Amino acid sequence: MKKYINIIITTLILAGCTERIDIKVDNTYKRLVVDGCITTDTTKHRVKLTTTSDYFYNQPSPPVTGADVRISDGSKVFLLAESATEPGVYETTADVYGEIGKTYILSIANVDVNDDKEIELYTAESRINPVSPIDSIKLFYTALGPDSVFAIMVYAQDPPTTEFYVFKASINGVLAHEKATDLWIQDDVLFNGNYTNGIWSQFLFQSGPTKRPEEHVAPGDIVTFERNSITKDYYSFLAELQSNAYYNPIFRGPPANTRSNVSNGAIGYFSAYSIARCNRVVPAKPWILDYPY
Amino acid sequence: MKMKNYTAMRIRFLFFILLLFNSGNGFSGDEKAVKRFTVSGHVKDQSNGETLISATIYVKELATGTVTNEYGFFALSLPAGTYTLEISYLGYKNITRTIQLQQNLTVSFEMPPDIQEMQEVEITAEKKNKNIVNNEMSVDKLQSKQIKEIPALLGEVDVIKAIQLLPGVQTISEGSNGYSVRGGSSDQNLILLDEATVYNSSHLLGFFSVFNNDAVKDVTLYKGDIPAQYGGRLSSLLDIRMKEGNAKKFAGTGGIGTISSRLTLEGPILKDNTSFIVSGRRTYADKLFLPFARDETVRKNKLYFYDFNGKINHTIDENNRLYFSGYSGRDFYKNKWAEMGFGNRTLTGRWNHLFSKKLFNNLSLIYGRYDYSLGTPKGEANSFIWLSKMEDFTGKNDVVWYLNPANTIHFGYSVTYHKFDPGKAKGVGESSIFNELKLRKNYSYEHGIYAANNQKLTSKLTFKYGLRFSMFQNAGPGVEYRYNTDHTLADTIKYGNNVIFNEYFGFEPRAGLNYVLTDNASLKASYSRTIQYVHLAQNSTAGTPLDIWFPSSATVKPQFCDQYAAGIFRNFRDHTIETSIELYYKDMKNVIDFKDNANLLLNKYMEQELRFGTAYSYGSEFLIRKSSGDLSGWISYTLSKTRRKILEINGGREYPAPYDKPHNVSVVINYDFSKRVTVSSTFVYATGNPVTFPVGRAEYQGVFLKVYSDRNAYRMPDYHRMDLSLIIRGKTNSIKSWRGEHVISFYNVYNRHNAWSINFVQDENDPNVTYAEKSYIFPILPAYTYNFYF
Repeated sequence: MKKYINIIITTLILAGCTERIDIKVDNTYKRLVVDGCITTDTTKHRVKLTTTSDYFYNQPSPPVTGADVRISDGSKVFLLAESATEPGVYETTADVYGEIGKTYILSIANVDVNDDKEIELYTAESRINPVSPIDSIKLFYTALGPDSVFAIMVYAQDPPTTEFYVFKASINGVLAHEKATDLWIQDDVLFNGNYTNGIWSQFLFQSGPTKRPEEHVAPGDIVTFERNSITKDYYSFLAELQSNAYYNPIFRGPPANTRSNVSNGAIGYFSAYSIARCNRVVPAKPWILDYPY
Repeated sequence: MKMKNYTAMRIRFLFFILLLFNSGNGFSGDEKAVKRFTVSGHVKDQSNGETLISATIYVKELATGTVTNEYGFFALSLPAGTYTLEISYLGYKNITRTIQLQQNLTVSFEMPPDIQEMQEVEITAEKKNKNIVNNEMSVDKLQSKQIKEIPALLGEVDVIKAIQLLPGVQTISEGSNGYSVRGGSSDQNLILLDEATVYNSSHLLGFFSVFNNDAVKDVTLYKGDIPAQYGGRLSSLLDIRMKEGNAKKFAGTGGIGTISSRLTLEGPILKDNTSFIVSGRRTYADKLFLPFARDETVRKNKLYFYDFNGKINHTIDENNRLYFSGYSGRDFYKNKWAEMGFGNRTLTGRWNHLFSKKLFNNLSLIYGRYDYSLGTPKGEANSFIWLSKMEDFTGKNDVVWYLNPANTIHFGYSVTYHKFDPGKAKGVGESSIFNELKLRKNYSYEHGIYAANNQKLTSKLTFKYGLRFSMFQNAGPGVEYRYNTDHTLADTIKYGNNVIFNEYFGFEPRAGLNYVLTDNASLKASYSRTIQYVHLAQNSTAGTPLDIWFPSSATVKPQFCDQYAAGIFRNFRDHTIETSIELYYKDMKNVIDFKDNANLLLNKYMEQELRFGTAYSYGSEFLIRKSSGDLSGWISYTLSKTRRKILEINGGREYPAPYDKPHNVSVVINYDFSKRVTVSSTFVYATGNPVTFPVGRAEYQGVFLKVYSDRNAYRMPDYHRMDLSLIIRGKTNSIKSWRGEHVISFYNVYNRHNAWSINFVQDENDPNVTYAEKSYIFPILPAYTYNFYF
């Protein structure tokens, strides 16, 4: 619900005017940045290692190469090989999948990020929580601010346990929400154990100023809605990330660093989660969502 | 300071009061030698019968005097004899009256308003130097008339915006109604409207205040040296008194403005005994502009606020007066997705009673309420409504004892019952999927008992001393959450009805000294301790209507503040120019800040997000003011420093408080070209607010996480702005009573794009590029208002 509250408040506010300005800021010491996950899908699971840079660096993030990267579930250990094409990206083999209820530990060795000529070791762990299936989804055509969007309404049973979700969507098998800021995150505090009878859970831009080409939906396209069941800590990480992405002094306290589950002062997150999916073909004449107004 | 030896404390306090009264009896010993009588009464405006607050009554023969209280009442106990009384009040012609005091005397002084300013006013020097001889410091008074001439945002005359131009007061953000006094946070200001606490003084996200200037008589800001009569907030008291209504004739005031219109009606019900005032204001931006919006859904949006003030007073007899006043105001926004409403309501009933000519008593019963609601359209799966409310019920009794010209004693008691409902959210309609999320209501009592004396020790030295004893009680039904030192939940304890399950109390001494050096110069010093028991969960810089107040508890200790101040006051040019320099030092304990990435909305365990520590603030305030003549106004400059130190914030290192602005300048100038044309201008300059900026970045799933600097290590660009207004008054026509007035104003005359916030964003086209972007709210904004009086 807080997600809605934020959206609502934003739509209630008179927008100010913006302009670019030059600001001088100091720099900070170099830290390891981890961006990786393991899911219940059987696929190549990726871990990307980079380092921090000055805020106005304006170049691709410096990759960390030659690291020894492993994911272990306590008994099995998967070695991640560095990608030949993308430096700093490490991948498992394509037959690896995570199992619900297991805790996965990422370990990174053989790196010297702070350039002190001493090898550092980093670890992170995350558990895969169970996910319940989605019965169906519906697509509604509606307006969101100046944009026209497809709203995705979800019909599913929420289990009696406390859940934390990430909602995303794909169009014809291509993920439409790649950026962490486009993910919808949701806890079930307000609907725990209930049937989510058509709750708006994600949207795809159709037209308007914010429209992105990769999100364009046409009749006949297959929209896949994806519900990830994540840990509470990863949920908090994403919530902090999203609120720091665009800082609004009315609704936020002083900005603060986003949490991390990686040891040794590193930044970023190694997450593990389960996935439930549901498809729908975009109808020739989509339903129109019209609030009684 | 937990309750331990309460009985012993109580005895000590009673002892203190007895001491105080004994010192009074020492003076009354004189009465046996020389027969003393009391002259008492009210000072009023001749044109409308409004009582005047803080008017000076000066006894020429004894070179002594007094000032009227909040109800325009005064009393002077003098030896029998013949005296010349001189009554003065800014903006009015002085009155001189000779009295034969052979018995107790009740008089009423009606002062003619000084319309022809700059006429030579024949008054002697002694009365113009009120600022020198008064034993009050760190106090600023503004009258409704002065506030009206200050250029206003979109022409909406605003009490709080005027307050923000005074030395020692900082605006918390552009256009905002929040203010910080001497380094305090904005929830440390007690705002009283006819004695009722106003918990949210903002309309429309703080751009306008809830106080309709047409209904306001008098505004006093205490920045320290808060009278013992008041407590409950650390930093300041803003005492706003509503007009009582014209007792002489039926009259009206109104205005048609750019965004709102106002109408005030007042008049006698029973001549000279009962009068009333009603005042209303409503904005109509939604009615005026939205119908022309291109988008149909926008046309259906709603956006307005309104205020309603009403007051009635009745004089039963010479010794008894009744006042009833109330305020109700609300903001309402609605668009396709959501609707939000919030507002305050207050009700005050008061009874002034004279036990004797020198014992003035006032009994007040007060109700105050603030609530908000936020919701979505009904009938959808995600339809919900979120409600929150807080209510205060207060009873207080204050006594002023005008013992003799050398001693004025105040004492009294107050109790407030706080009923806070921090919020519940629930689904609406049959198709809603939401469960109800309810935060527990909490109940508490706040008590205060005080006594104070203002004593003239010699003709040059005045000493003011008082003590307030305050107590706070959490009352059942309620739940106490106990936390471990790492802020995890340790225990949940439930309490039944009417159980007092947690208690705090404290002594709040207040003292002030005034030493008159010469006729036009004096030195003043003061010390005050203040304790605050309720706090605002406001993490953001600007504040929102959704911010909730919460009481002290087992986890949240009361905030304490010790303030020391000293100042020199000097008048020039026959007292037409007043200057002052004040220095202050404030030491605060148990101040509240919020942990990184705190979550304050609908959070049952909100106390987990709080962090406690200390703060200090010191500074100097310079003021030059000219109150009479064609050219009037003031220049103020404040140099200050405020730091906080909280164990788990910023690694336990000291950091600048959010409202720390080292340099702050305000210039207010009014110039009367003629009786009919006035030009008014304000200029403000302040160092930028401290902010936290990113010093590095880290890539995660296509976004850059920011690696932040120390808390508040950077500053926003400096803020400065100039406003102008031109007032053209219609001719005063003796036949028709209607008088019109045109006000043309410009906010931000040189169109500076003052940064409201600075954001660090990722370029849409090149994801590797990050840049800084400032947003500003108000460019140059012209406004026109037509005011009328009849």
